[in-house]
Amino acid sequence: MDNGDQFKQHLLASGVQVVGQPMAGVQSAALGIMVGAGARHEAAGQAGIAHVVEQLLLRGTSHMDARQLSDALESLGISYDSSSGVEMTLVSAVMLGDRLPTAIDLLADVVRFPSFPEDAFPTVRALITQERRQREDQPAQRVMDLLRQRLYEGEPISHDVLGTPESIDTISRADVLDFWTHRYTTNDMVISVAGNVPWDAVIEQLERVTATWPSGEGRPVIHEPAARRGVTILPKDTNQENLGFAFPAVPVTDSHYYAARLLTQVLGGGSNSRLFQEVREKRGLAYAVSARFDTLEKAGFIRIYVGTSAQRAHESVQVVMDELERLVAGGVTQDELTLAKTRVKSQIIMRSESTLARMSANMRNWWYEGQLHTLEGIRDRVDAVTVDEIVALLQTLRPLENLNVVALGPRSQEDLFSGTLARA
Amino acid sequence: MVVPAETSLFYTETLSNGLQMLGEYMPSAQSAACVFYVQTGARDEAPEHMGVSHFLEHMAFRGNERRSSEAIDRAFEEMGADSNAATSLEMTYYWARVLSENVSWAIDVLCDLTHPALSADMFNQERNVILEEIARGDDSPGRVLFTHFMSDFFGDHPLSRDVLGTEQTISNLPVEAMRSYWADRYGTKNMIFAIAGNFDWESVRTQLQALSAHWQQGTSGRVTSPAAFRPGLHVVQRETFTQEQVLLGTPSVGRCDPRYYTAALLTTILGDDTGSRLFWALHETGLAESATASTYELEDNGVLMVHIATEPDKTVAALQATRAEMALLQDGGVQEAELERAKVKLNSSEVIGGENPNVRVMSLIHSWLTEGRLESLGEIRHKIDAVKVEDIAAYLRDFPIYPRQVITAVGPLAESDVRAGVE
Repeated sequence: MDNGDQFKQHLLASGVQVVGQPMAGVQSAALGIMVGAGARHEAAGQAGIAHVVEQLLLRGTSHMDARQLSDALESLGISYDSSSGVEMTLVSAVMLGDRLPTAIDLLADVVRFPSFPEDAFPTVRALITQERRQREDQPAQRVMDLLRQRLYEGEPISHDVLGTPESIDTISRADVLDFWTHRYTTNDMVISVAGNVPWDAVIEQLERVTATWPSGEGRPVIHEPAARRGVTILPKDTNQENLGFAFPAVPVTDSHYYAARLLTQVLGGGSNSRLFQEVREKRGLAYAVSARFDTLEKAGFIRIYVGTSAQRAHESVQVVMDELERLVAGGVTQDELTLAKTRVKSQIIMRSESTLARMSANMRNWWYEGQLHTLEGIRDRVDAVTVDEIVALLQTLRPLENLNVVALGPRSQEDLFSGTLARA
Repeated sequence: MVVPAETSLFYTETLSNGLQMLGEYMPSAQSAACVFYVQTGARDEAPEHMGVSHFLEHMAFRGNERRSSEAIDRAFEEMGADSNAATSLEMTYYWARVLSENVSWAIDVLCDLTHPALSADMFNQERNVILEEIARGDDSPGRVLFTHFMSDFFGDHPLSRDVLGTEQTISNLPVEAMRSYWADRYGTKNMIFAIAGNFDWESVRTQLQALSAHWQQGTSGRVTSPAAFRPGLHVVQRETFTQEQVLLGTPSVGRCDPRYYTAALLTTILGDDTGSRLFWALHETGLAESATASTYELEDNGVLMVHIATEPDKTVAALQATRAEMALLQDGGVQEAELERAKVKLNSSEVIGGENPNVRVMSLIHSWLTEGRLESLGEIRHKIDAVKVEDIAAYLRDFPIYPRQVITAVGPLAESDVRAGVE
């Protein structure tokens, strides 16, 4: 099943963890450097600083200005990206395999020797302001993000990656240097390569490149975040009412991780799911309706989204609540579970055909679990999930008692939830 | 079959009923992507039935004599498929990606999708979903912008149509109109089946031959005509949106024009999302969060588009900077070095994209429609490498990108707030 592809892992002398998967029959290589620097690490008053730092990385290093850096990558057709989230910052690239050594040199420079040029700050501030507007203009995305923020309100993982307009304006170059110095350290970093990669040569190069990189305090030990229930109404003059429902599940390290994933699939993971069938196929209440399961360190949560016309929003809430009740009361059937397993396994195999997807999956697995998963290993774990395990998991999760709801649109709380949420 | 490790194998065949089949065997794949591509879309609709192609694409999933709506949803789940469908101005396609052992099952279901029952009950039920999709689209700045832009650009040409239709056309659409549209446009002569990845061509061919033996041939082709160019500014004020988004468009090559790669290289240089002229002039100055260029090739027309997303206060400056870059390109052409860099980027992305069956299957269809044959990545690279600085200059003479443009803006600003950016 793995086509002879091999998992590799190596701890560099500098303390950086490296994972790799050379793949047969591909010309491309994917590279990622992940750093434990996210919104959760931000101090009060510095909201958004992880994103500011990430946005500055590609805008110049001690050795190259932004344009030289860009030219060096672009002239080799190296497609690159950076992103930052709740828990980490990622710099990644995809390229033809023979360009990997150059990509490693350049991305290493970006992560370890950023110059944080003073004149790039106004640009980055302006772009983040616009990013906030862009998010504002996408109701579904806004609702999903708000659900996480409200579900974990008061916890570091509720932090808004984009910060606040005030914090973004006041973050200084000294703040940026300080955050980067503390967070961009070898013992909170994973490098991942996959595809057309000569593993031994990659390790040799990385040993050399990272030899002088400093270590730091390592990954902070965190407590399990507490989740809250609640209702948030964001009035907005949109056509549709955008409804989001969230409840806490389990983290990726939990033995019931695949049970949670499969139950999400049954609930809202595609056109055969209960929500799609009930909300869209039978009642025509929505075009977009789905459930998704996401995990962070020591946390996992399931979110449901429905975009429905304002006139029928109350009915949509009712159907979602009914489906959650039915799930809690009756669990899933053996037939549904078997179908969901097929789908989840098949998706994992198909996604593993892309070098970028494998690089990213291996990196995340190592980051969160300190291990890599073969396709066989995943298949065994998926197959081992039983109906009883899902029933028991639902009894622990108690979705109805722990529900956090966000509604963005023209309707009031009374319009939307009278007689429905009360049951929760 | 013994296949050398890096070699792909191409297959083409026209069945006796007219159905065109295309295939590319990818030795390293474990899955295959299968597509039924119907050469019909919003431009082929009667104006009063606008949206029927897209609505029909939804109805494809609502069952026929062989499989009910639930059975279709279930089958895709049972075979672990990623599946979807899409409708545009000129095409409607049905797509499934499955592990290779499920290829014949996926083809069986895809065949059902192209022959839906179109029952009145299901039709009326699905109409609500379409109306929700329209309402959702109207809350999305990107979609509102594109719809208005295409209408501004194409005027009364059929390419000005809105793929989703309007609340009115969808509410009034009779099921009979969809049935006759289907009978006319979903014949074997107007369909292409393509598959890329890991599959056995002989069994795919035999299966499709049997399944399609009794399919109607229908009609193919459409009335084509070049659209008149109607430069001008149109500002759609929507105070609920917080960003101002703008599209600037000029005529470009149609899909069969050999200058396709010239246009692709030009837009890479002008507005690729990293390292391009617009990237440096707008993104890296903080003027616009997005400033990109692309082309849209249609059968008889093409559009070169620049998209800007910015904040209201910066719109005038962003538009001025964009137009200044377009003027510079129009007057001065491109440099040898930036053309070479664009070629490397385009070639790399062709190779990397070529590893993905989803990407390959669509490029098979693209090759077939533009060249009448399948092209290897090597041939594509050769075409990209052959483009010279003078070719770009010649393209710009034939399709000037400045000063006359169709400009559409959507966002909180009124026309008087935007106009200074384009004068």
